[in-house]
Amino acid sequence: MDSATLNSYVGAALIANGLHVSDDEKSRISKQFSLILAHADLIKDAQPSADPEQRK
Amino acid sequence: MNIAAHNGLAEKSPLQHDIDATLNAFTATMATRTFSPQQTSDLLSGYTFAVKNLYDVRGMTTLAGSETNIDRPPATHDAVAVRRLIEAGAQLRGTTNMDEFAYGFTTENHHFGATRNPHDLERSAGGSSGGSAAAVAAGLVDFSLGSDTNGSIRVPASFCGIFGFKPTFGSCDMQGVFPFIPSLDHIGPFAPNATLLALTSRVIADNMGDARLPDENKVDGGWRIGILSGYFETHRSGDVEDATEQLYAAFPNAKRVELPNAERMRSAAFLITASEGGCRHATALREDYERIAPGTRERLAAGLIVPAEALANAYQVRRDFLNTADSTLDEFDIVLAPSAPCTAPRIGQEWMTLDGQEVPTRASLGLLTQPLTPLGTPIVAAPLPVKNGLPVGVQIMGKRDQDALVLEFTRHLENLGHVKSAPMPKL
Repeated sequence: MDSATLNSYVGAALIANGLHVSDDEKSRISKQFSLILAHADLIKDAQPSADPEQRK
Repeated sequence: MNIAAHNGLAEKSPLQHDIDATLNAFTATMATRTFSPQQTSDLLSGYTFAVKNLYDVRGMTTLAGSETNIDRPPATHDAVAVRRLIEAGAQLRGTTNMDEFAYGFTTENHHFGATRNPHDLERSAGGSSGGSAAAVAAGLVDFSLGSDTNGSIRVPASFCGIFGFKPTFGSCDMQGVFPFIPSLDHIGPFAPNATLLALTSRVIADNMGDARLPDENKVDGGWRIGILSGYFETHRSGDVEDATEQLYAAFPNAKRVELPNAERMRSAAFLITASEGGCRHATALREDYERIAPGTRERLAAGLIVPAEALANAYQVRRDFLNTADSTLDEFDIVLAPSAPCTAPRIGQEWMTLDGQEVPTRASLGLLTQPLTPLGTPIVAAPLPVKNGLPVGVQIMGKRDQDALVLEFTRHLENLGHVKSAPMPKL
Protein backbone atom coordinates (compact mmCIF):
# COMPACT_ATOMS: atom_id res chain seq x y z
CA MET A 1 0.00 0.00 0.00
CA ASP A 2 1.56 3.32 -1.01
CA SER A 3 1.78 6.24 1.38
CA ALA A 4 -1.14 8.20 -0.06
CA THR A 5 -3.45 5.18 -0.01
CA LEU A 6 -2.34 4.34 3.50
CA ASN A 7 -3.05 7.84 4.80
CA SER A 8 -6.36 7.90 3.02
CA TYR A 9 -7.40 4.57 4.50
CA VAL A 10 -6.28 5.55 8.01
CA GLY A 11 -8.09 8.89 7.85
CA ALA A 12 -11.33 7.35 6.66
CA ALA A 13 -11.16 4.42 9.08
CA LEU A 14 -10.55 6.71 12.05
CA ILE A 15 -13.57 8.84 11.18
CA ALA A 16 -15.69 5.74 10.62
CA ASN A 17 -14.72 4.63 14.13
CA GLY A 18 -15.61 7.98 15.66
CA LEU A 19 -12.06 9.21 16.11
CA HIS A 20 -11.36 12.78 15.07
CA VAL A 21 -7.70 13.69 15.45
CA SER A 22 -5.24 16.26 14.15
CA ASP A 23 -3.16 15.70 11.03
CA ASP A 24 -0.03 15.25 13.16
CA GLU A 25 -1.77 12.61 15.22
CA LYS A 26 -3.07 10.93 12.08
CA SER A 27 0.49 10.76 10.80
CA ARG A 28 1.66 9.03 13.99
CA ILE A 29 -1.23 6.58 13.79
CA SER A 30 -0.37 5.84 10.16
CA LYS A 31 3.17 4.98 11.21
CA GLN A 32 1.88 2.47 13.74
CA PHE A 33 -0.63 1.15 11.24
CA SER A 34 2.23 0.49 8.81
CA LEU A 35 3.89 -1.68 11.43
CA ILE A 36 0.67 -3.64 11.86
CA LEU A 37 0.35 -4.09 8.11
CA ALA A 38 3.92 -5.41 7.96
CA HIS A 39 2.94 -8.15 10.41
CA ALA A 40 -0.31 -8.76 8.52
CA ASP A 41 1.68 -9.21 5.34
CA LEU A 42 3.75 -11.98 6.92
CA ILE A 43 0.64 -14.07 7.57
CA LYS A 44 -1.54 -13.06 4.62
CA ASP A 45 -1.51 -16.62 3.26
CA ALA A 46 -3.30 -18.01 6.33
CA GLN A 47 -6.49 -19.76 5.29
CA PRO A 48 -9.12 -21.50 7.35
CA SER A 49 -8.68 -25.25 7.11
CA ALA A 50 -11.37 -27.40 5.56
CA ASP A 51 -10.36 -30.26 7.81
CA PRO A 52 -12.75 -30.40 10.81
CA GLU A 53 -9.95 -31.92 12.92
CA GLN A 54 -7.86 -28.84 12.31
CA ARG A 55 -10.68 -26.52 13.28
CA LYS A 56 -10.88 -27.51 16.92
CA MET B 1 1.78 13.68 40.21
CA ASN B 2 1.33 12.61 43.83
CA ILE B 3 -0.77 9.50 43.45
CA ALA B 4 -0.42 8.62 47.14
CA ALA B 5 -2.02 11.91 48.07
CA HIS B 6 -4.61 11.37 45.36
CA ASN B 7 -5.61 8.09 46.95
CA GLY B 8 -5.52 9.49 50.47
CA LEU B 9 -2.86 7.00 51.48
CA ALA B 10 0.14 7.17 53.75
CA GLU B 11 3.35 8.46 52.29
CA LYS B 12 6.24 6.08 51.79
CA SER B 13 8.44 5.08 54.73
CA PRO B 14 11.81 6.91 54.83
CA LEU B 15 13.72 3.87 53.53
CA GLN B 16 11.23 3.13 50.81
CA HIS B 17 11.10 6.79 49.94
CA ASP B 18 14.86 7.11 49.48
CA ILE B 19 15.21 4.01 47.35
CA ASP B 20 12.00 4.45 45.46
CA ALA B 21 12.81 8.06 44.72
CA THR B 22 15.61 6.54 42.67
CA LEU B 23 13.73 3.61 41.15
CA ASN B 24 10.18 4.95 40.82
CA ALA B 25 8.81 1.45 41.33
CA PHE B 26 5.76 2.45 43.40
CA THR B 27 2.81 4.59 42.41
CA ALA B 28 1.35 4.47 45.93
CA THR B 29 2.37 2.96 49.22
CA MET B 30 0.33 2.05 52.22
CA ALA B 31 1.67 1.79 55.73
CA THR B 32 -1.61 1.28 57.50
CA ARG B 33 -3.15 -1.89 56.05
CA THR B 34 -1.30 -4.84 57.48
CA PHE B 35 -3.02 -7.95 58.72
CA SER B 36 -6.49 -8.47 57.47
CA PRO B 37 -9.26 -9.34 59.88
CA GLN B 38 -10.03 -12.09 57.37
CA GLN B 39 -6.63 -13.72 57.70
CA THR B 40 -7.22 -17.45 57.51
CA SER B 41 -3.70 -18.89 57.44
CA ASP B 42 -0.13 -17.91 58.20
CA LEU B 43 1.41 -19.32 55.03
CA LEU B 44 2.75 -15.89 54.12
CA SER B 45 2.96 -14.29 57.57
CA GLY B 46 5.77 -11.79 57.77
CA TYR B 47 6.07 -11.35 54.03
CA THR B 48 5.43 -7.98 52.42
CA PHE B 49 4.19 -7.53 48.89
CA ALA B 50 3.14 -5.01 46.26
CA VAL B 51 0.83 -5.27 43.27
CA LYS B 52 0.90 -3.80 39.79
CA ASN B 53 -1.54 -0.92 39.78
CA LEU B 54 -4.05 -2.77 37.64
CA TYR B 55 -5.17 -4.90 40.60
CA ASP B 56 -8.11 -3.59 42.61
CA VAL B 57 -7.04 -2.61 46.10
CA ARG B 58 -9.87 -1.63 48.38
CA GLY B 59 -9.93 2.13 48.92
CA MET B 60 -7.64 2.93 46.01
CA THR B 61 -8.35 3.90 42.44
CA THR B 62 -7.21 1.25 39.98
CA LEU B 63 -5.11 3.22 37.52
CA ALA B 64 -3.74 0.60 35.12
CA GLY B 65 -1.02 3.14 34.47
CA SER B 66 -3.34 5.66 32.89
CA GLU B 67 -4.35 9.18 33.74
CA THR B 68 -7.71 8.40 32.14
CA ASN B 69 -8.56 6.28 35.19
CA ILE B 70 -7.76 8.86 37.85
CA ASP B 71 -11.36 10.00 38.14
CA ARG B 72 -12.66 6.49 38.66
CA PRO B 73 -14.01 5.77 42.13
CA PRO B 74 -11.82 3.80 44.54
CA ALA B 75 -12.22 0.04 44.44
CA THR B 76 -14.67 -1.29 46.97
CA HIS B 77 -13.02 -4.73 47.17
CA ASP B 78 -9.58 -6.20 46.78
CA ALA B 79 -8.95 -8.26 43.65
CA VAL B 80 -9.35 -11.96 44.42
CA ALA B 81 -5.60 -12.61 44.16
CA VAL B 82 -4.83 -9.72 46.51
CA ARG B 83 -7.43 -10.92 48.99
CA ARG B 84 -6.03 -14.45 48.96
CA LEU B 85 -2.51 -13.19 49.72
CA ILE B 86 -3.75 -11.01 52.58
CA GLU B 87 -5.81 -13.89 53.94
CA ALA B 88 -2.59 -15.92 53.95
CA GLY B 89 -0.98 -13.30 56.17
CA ALA B 90 1.01 -11.22 53.67
CA GLN B 91 1.19 -7.46 54.19
CA LEU B 92 0.31 -5.26 51.24
CA ARG B 93 2.72 -2.33 50.96
CA GLY B 94 1.59 -0.59 47.81
CA THR B 95 0.92 -0.48 44.11
CA THR B 96 3.53 -0.37 41.41
CA ASN B 97 4.27 1.39 38.17
CA MET B 98 3.52 -0.14 34.77
CA ASP B 99 3.19 0.67 31.09
CA GLU B 100 -0.10 2.41 30.39
CA PHE B 101 -2.88 -0.20 30.09
CA ALA B 102 -0.10 -2.86 30.25
CA TYR B 103 0.68 -2.11 26.59
CA GLY B 104 4.50 -2.10 26.55
CA PHE B 105 7.71 -3.78 27.64
CA THR B 106 9.67 -0.96 29.30
CA THR B 107 7.57 0.72 32.04
CA GLU B 108 8.37 4.14 30.65
CA ASN B 109 5.10 5.65 31.75
CA HIS B 110 4.33 9.07 30.30
CA HIS B 111 2.26 10.12 33.34
CA PHE B 112 4.10 8.45 36.20
CA GLY B 113 7.68 8.32 34.89
CA ALA B 114 10.02 5.47 34.02
CA THR B 115 10.86 2.73 36.50
CA ARG B 116 14.62 2.27 36.67
CA ASN B 117 16.41 -1.04 36.74
CA PRO B 118 17.99 -1.60 40.19
CA HIS B 119 21.04 -3.18 38.51
CA ASP B 120 21.72 -0.17 36.28
CA LEU B 121 19.71 2.97 36.88
CA GLU B 122 20.12 4.13 33.30
CA ARG B 123 18.32 1.03 32.06
CA SER B 124 14.75 -0.16 31.86
CA ALA B 125 13.27 -2.50 34.45
CA GLY B 126 11.28 -4.11 31.64
CA GLY B 127 7.53 -4.10 31.40
CA SER B 128 4.77 -3.88 31.57
CA SER B 129 5.09 -5.07 35.19
CA GLY B 130 8.38 -3.21 35.68
CA GLY B 131 7.51 -1.58 39.00
CA SER B 132 6.64 -4.94 40.55
CA ALA B 133 9.88 -6.52 39.32
CA ALA B 134 12.10 -3.60 40.40
CA ALA B 135 10.50 -3.51 43.87
CA VAL B 136 11.42 -7.17 44.46
CA ALA B 137 14.87 -6.91 42.89
CA ALA B 138 15.70 -3.95 45.16
CA GLY B 139 14.31 -5.68 48.25
CA LEU B 140 11.57 -3.11 48.83
CA VAL B 141 9.08 -5.95 49.24
CA ASP B 142 9.44 -9.72 49.53
CA PHE B 143 7.31 -10.53 46.51
CA SER B 144 4.89 -8.85 44.14
CA LEU B 145 2.17 -9.47 41.58
CA GLY B 146 2.29 -8.61 37.91
CA SER B 147 0.34 -9.52 34.82
CA ASP B 148 1.49 -11.09 31.56
CA THR B 149 -0.29 -10.79 28.21
CA ASN B 150 2.67 -10.98 25.85
CA GLY B 151 5.56 -11.32 28.30
CA SER B 152 4.92 -8.61 30.88
CA ILE B 153 6.06 -10.78 33.79
CA ARG B 154 8.79 -12.72 31.98
CA VAL B 155 10.58 -9.75 30.39
CA PRO B 156 10.91 -7.63 33.57
CA ALA B 157 11.86 -10.71 35.62
CA SER B 158 14.66 -11.31 33.13
CA PHE B 159 15.88 -7.70 33.13
CA CYS B 160 15.76 -7.41 36.94
CA GLY B 161 17.39 -10.78 37.69
CA ILE B 162 14.55 -12.34 39.69
CA PHE B 163 11.97 -15.11 39.30
CA GLY B 164 8.59 -14.53 37.69
CA PHE B 165 5.77 -16.94 36.92
CA LYS B 166 3.01 -16.97 34.33
CA PRO B 167 0.66 -19.75 35.43
CA THR B 168 -1.55 -21.85 33.16
CA PHE B 169 -4.10 -19.65 31.40
CA GLY B 170 -7.31 -19.50 33.40
CA SER B 171 -5.87 -21.06 36.56
CA CYS B 172 -6.10 -17.87 38.61
CA ASP B 173 -9.23 -15.87 39.33
CA MET B 174 -8.89 -12.58 37.44
CA GLN B 175 -11.73 -10.82 39.23
CA GLY B 176 -10.62 -7.31 40.13
CA VAL B 177 -7.81 -7.21 37.58
CA PHE B 178 -8.04 -4.49 34.92
CA PRO B 179 -8.09 -6.41 31.63
CA PHE B 180 -5.97 -5.82 28.55
CA ILE B 181 -6.49 -8.73 26.13
CA PRO B 182 -8.77 -11.20 27.93
CA SER B 183 -7.85 -14.13 25.65
CA LEU B 184 -4.18 -13.70 26.54
CA ASP B 185 -4.16 -12.11 30.01
CA HIS B 186 -2.46 -13.96 32.87
CA ILE B 187 -1.58 -12.91 36.41
CA GLY B 188 1.34 -14.14 38.45
CA PRO B 189 4.03 -13.38 41.03
CA PHE B 190 7.63 -12.16 41.16
CA ALA B 191 9.93 -13.48 43.90
CA PRO B 192 13.63 -13.54 44.74
CA ASN B 193 13.73 -17.34 44.99
CA ALA B 194 11.92 -20.39 43.62
CA THR B 195 10.47 -21.43 46.96
CA LEU B 196 8.64 -18.16 47.56
CA LEU B 197 7.60 -18.09 43.90
CA ALA B 198 5.92 -21.48 44.33
CA LEU B 199 4.35 -20.55 47.65
CA THR B 200 2.76 -17.36 46.35
CA SER B 201 1.66 -19.09 43.13
CA ARG B 202 -0.08 -21.77 45.15
CA VAL B 203 -1.93 -19.15 47.19
CA ILE B 204 -3.29 -17.21 44.21
CA ALA B 205 -4.10 -20.25 42.03
CA ASP B 206 -7.52 -21.81 42.15
CA ASN B 207 -6.33 -25.37 42.52
CA MET B 208 -2.72 -26.20 41.79
CA GLY B 209 -1.93 -29.88 41.95
CA ASP B 210 1.27 -31.49 43.14
CA ALA B 211 4.30 -32.69 41.23
CA ARG B 212 6.54 -35.60 42.01
CA LEU B 213 9.83 -34.63 43.57
CA PRO B 214 12.83 -34.56 41.24
CA ASP B 215 15.50 -37.22 41.17
CA GLU B 216 18.10 -35.15 42.99
CA ASN B 217 20.94 -37.17 41.47
CA LYS B 218 20.08 -35.99 37.97
CA VAL B 219 20.43 -32.44 36.68
CA ASP B 220 17.26 -32.90 34.69
CA GLY B 221 15.52 -34.31 37.75
CA GLY B 222 14.44 -37.30 35.69
CA TRP B 223 12.24 -35.18 33.47
CA ARG B 224 12.38 -34.95 29.65
CA ILE B 225 13.94 -31.65 28.62
CA GLY B 226 13.57 -29.84 25.30
CA ILE B 227 15.44 -26.75 24.16
CA LEU B 228 13.72 -24.48 21.67
CA SER B 229 15.90 -23.95 18.62
CA GLY B 230 15.49 -22.04 15.34
CA TYR B 231 13.61 -18.81 15.98
CA PHE B 232 14.47 -18.94 19.70
CA GLU B 233 18.20 -19.27 18.96
CA THR B 234 18.32 -16.72 16.18
CA HIS B 235 16.87 -13.86 18.20
CA ARG B 236 19.49 -13.71 20.95
CA SER B 237 22.12 -11.10 21.74
CA GLY B 238 25.61 -12.36 22.59
CA ASP B 239 25.04 -12.01 26.35
CA VAL B 240 21.82 -13.99 26.18
CA GLU B 241 23.34 -16.65 23.96
CA ASP B 242 26.30 -17.15 26.32
CA ALA B 243 24.14 -17.41 29.44
CA THR B 244 21.51 -19.70 27.94
CA GLU B 245 24.02 -22.00 26.24
CA GLN B 246 25.82 -22.36 29.57
CA LEU B 247 22.57 -23.60 31.10
CA TYR B 248 21.75 -25.84 28.15
CA ALA B 249 25.16 -27.49 28.47
CA ALA B 250 24.05 -28.84 31.83
CA PHE B 251 21.52 -31.05 30.00
CA PRO B 252 23.47 -33.34 27.66
CA ASN B 253 20.41 -35.51 27.08
CA ALA B 254 18.14 -32.61 26.18
CA LYS B 255 16.81 -32.48 22.64
CA ARG B 256 16.77 -29.32 20.53
CA VAL B 257 13.38 -28.83 18.97
CA GLU B 258 12.01 -26.26 16.58
CA LEU B 259 8.58 -24.85 17.21
CA PRO B 260 7.13 -24.48 13.71
CA ASN B 261 5.77 -21.07 12.75
CA ALA B 262 6.90 -19.31 15.92
CA GLU B 263 7.63 -16.16 13.93
CA ARG B 264 4.19 -16.25 12.31
CA MET B 265 2.65 -16.73 15.72
CA ARG B 266 4.50 -13.68 16.97
CA SER B 267 3.06 -11.62 14.12
CA ALA B 268 -0.40 -13.01 14.85
CA ALA B 269 -0.05 -12.14 18.55
CA PHE B 270 1.06 -8.64 17.57
CA LEU B 271 -2.06 -8.21 15.42
CA ILE B 272 -4.46 -9.72 17.94
CA THR B 273 -3.05 -7.55 20.71
CA ALA B 274 -3.24 -4.39 18.61
CA SER B 275 -6.78 -5.09 17.44
CA GLU B 276 -8.29 -6.34 20.70
CA GLY B 277 -6.42 -3.65 22.63
CA GLY B 278 -7.81 -0.96 20.33
CA CYS B 279 -11.33 -2.32 20.70
CA ARG B 280 -10.93 -2.64 24.48
CA HIS B 281 -10.09 1.05 24.75
CA ALA B 282 -12.27 2.36 21.94
CA THR B 283 -14.44 4.43 24.26
CA ALA B 284 -11.42 6.02 25.95
CA LEU B 285 -9.96 6.76 22.51
CA ARG B 286 -13.16 8.51 21.43
CA GLU B 287 -13.87 10.37 24.65
CA ASP B 288 -10.50 10.92 26.31
CA TYR B 289 -7.92 10.79 23.52
CA GLU B 290 -5.69 13.59 24.78
CA ARG B 291 -5.37 12.05 28.24
CA ILE B 292 -4.04 8.77 26.86
CA ALA B 293 -0.28 9.14 26.56
CA PRO B 294 1.46 9.71 23.25
CA GLY B 295 3.08 6.42 22.40
CA THR B 296 0.04 4.51 23.67
CA ARG B 297 -2.87 6.24 21.97
CA GLU B 298 -1.58 6.01 18.41
CA ARG B 299 -0.91 2.27 18.82
CA LEU B 300 -4.42 1.73 20.22
CA ALA B 301 -5.97 3.86 17.48
CA ALA B 302 -4.06 1.93 14.80
CA GLY B 303 -5.26 -1.30 16.39
CA LEU B 304 -8.85 -0.13 16.29
CA ILE B 305 -8.77 0.06 12.49
CA VAL B 306 -7.09 -3.27 11.73
CA PRO B 307 -8.81 -4.77 8.65
CA ALA B 308 -11.04 -7.73 9.47
CA GLU B 309 -9.19 -9.97 7.00
CA ALA B 310 -5.89 -9.39 8.79
CA LEU B 311 -7.43 -10.24 12.13
CA ALA B 312 -9.12 -13.36 10.75
CA ASN B 313 -5.76 -14.48 9.39
CA ALA B 314 -4.16 -13.91 12.78
CA TYR B 315 -6.76 -16.10 14.49
CA GLN B 316 -6.19 -18.79 11.88
CA VAL B 317 -2.44 -18.69 12.45
CA ARG B 318 -3.07 -19.03 16.18
CA ARG B 319 -5.30 -22.09 15.66
CA ASP B 320 -2.75 -23.73 13.36
CA PHE B 321 0.09 -22.93 15.73
CA LEU B 322 -1.68 -24.41 18.74
CA ASN B 323 -2.45 -27.63 16.87
CA THR B 324 1.16 -28.05 15.76
CA ALA B 325 2.79 -26.93 18.99
CA ASP B 326 0.88 -29.38 21.14
CA SER B 327 2.13 -32.36 19.14
CA THR B 328 5.67 -30.95 18.78
CA LEU B 329 6.06 -30.39 22.50
CA ASP B 330 4.22 -33.50 23.66
CA GLU B 331 7.38 -35.54 24.20
CA PHE B 332 8.79 -33.08 26.74
CA ASP B 333 8.00 -32.35 30.38
CA ILE B 334 10.00 -29.13 30.33
CA VAL B 335 11.00 -26.83 27.48
CA LEU B 336 13.64 -24.10 27.76
CA ALA B 337 14.03 -20.82 25.85
CA PRO B 338 15.48 -17.38 26.60
CA SER B 339 13.10 -14.94 28.32
CA ALA B 340 14.15 -11.91 26.33
CA PRO B 341 16.31 -11.43 23.24
CA CYS B 342 18.70 -9.07 25.06
CA THR B 343 19.61 -7.60 28.42
CA ALA B 344 17.85 -4.47 29.66
CA PRO B 345 18.02 -1.62 27.14
CA ARG B 346 18.69 1.95 28.14
CA ILE B 347 15.67 4.00 29.12
CA GLY B 348 14.53 5.85 26.02
CA GLN B 349 16.50 3.62 23.66
CA GLU B 350 14.61 3.61 20.37
CA TRP B 351 16.63 1.07 18.39
CA MET B 352 18.80 -1.93 19.13
CA THR B 353 20.85 -4.40 17.11
CA LEU B 354 19.66 -7.98 17.03
CA ASP B 355 20.93 -10.71 14.76
CA GLY B 356 22.84 -8.04 12.83
CA GLN B 357 19.77 -5.91 12.19
CA GLU B 358 18.55 -2.64 13.63
CA VAL B 359 15.13 -3.26 15.18
CA PRO B 360 12.77 -1.06 17.22
CA THR B 361 13.60 -1.71 20.87
CA ARG B 362 10.19 -1.59 22.55
CA ALA B 363 8.39 -3.74 20.03
CA SER B 364 11.18 -6.33 19.98
CA LEU B 365 11.55 -7.09 23.68
CA GLY B 366 8.69 -9.60 23.55
CA LEU B 367 10.03 -11.52 20.56
CA LEU B 368 10.61 -14.69 22.60
CA THR B 369 7.68 -14.49 24.99
CA GLN B 370 4.92 -13.46 22.59
CA PRO B 371 4.81 -16.68 20.54
CA LEU B 372 4.54 -18.83 23.69
CA THR B 373 1.76 -16.93 25.46
CA PRO B 374 -1.12 -18.27 23.31
CA LEU B 375 -0.18 -21.82 24.35
CA GLY B 376 -1.56 -20.98 27.80
CA THR B 377 1.18 -23.06 29.39
CA PRO B 378 2.84 -22.40 32.76
CA ILE B 379 6.17 -20.60 32.31
CA VAL B 380 8.69 -19.54 34.92
CA ALA B 381 11.15 -16.82 33.97
CA ALA B 382 14.24 -17.71 35.98
CA PRO B 383 17.43 -15.67 36.39
CA LEU B 384 20.67 -17.19 35.14
CA PRO B 385 23.90 -16.70 37.06
CA VAL B 386 25.81 -13.95 35.29
CA LYS B 387 29.22 -13.09 36.75
CA ASN B 388 29.54 -9.69 35.17
CA GLY B 389 27.03 -7.65 33.30
CA LEU B 390 23.30 -7.39 33.34
CA PRO B 391 20.82 -10.12 34.29
CA VAL B 392 19.62 -12.68 31.75
CA GLY B 393 16.57 -14.91 32.14
CA VAL B 394 15.40 -18.27 30.83
CA GLN B 395 11.82 -19.43 30.26
CA ILE B 396 11.04 -22.80 31.84
CA MET B 397 7.83 -24.04 30.28
CA GLY B 398 5.69 -27.07 31.03
CA LYS B 399 2.43 -28.49 29.79
CA ARG B 400 -0.87 -26.84 30.63
CA ASP B 401 -1.94 -27.49 34.24
CA GLN B 402 1.53 -28.78 35.11
CA ASP B 403 2.33 -25.64 37.09
CA ALA B 404 3.56 -27.57 40.11
CA LEU B 405 6.03 -29.52 37.97
CA VAL B 406 7.46 -26.34 36.42
CA LEU B 407 7.85 -24.73 39.83
CA GLU B 408 9.42 -27.87 41.30
CA PHE B 409 11.87 -28.15 38.41
CA THR B 410 12.81 -24.48 38.92
CA ARG B 411 13.46 -25.12 42.62
CA HIS B 412 15.59 -28.13 41.64
CA LEU B 413 17.67 -25.99 39.26
CA GLU B 414 18.06 -23.32 41.92
CA ASN B 415 19.31 -25.93 44.41
CA LEU B 416 21.92 -26.97 41.87
CA GLY B 417 22.94 -23.34 41.23
CA HIS B 418 21.86 -23.30 37.60
CA VAL B 419 19.37 -20.50 38.20
CA LYS B 420 19.85 -17.85 40.81
CA SER B 421 18.66 -14.32 41.54
CA ALA B 422 21.12 -11.57 40.72
CA PRO B 423 22.84 -10.17 43.83
CA MET B 424 20.77 -7.40 45.35
CA PRO B 425 22.19 -4.07 44.19
CA LYS B 426 23.31 -1.37 46.63
CA LEU B 427 21.14 1.67 46.10
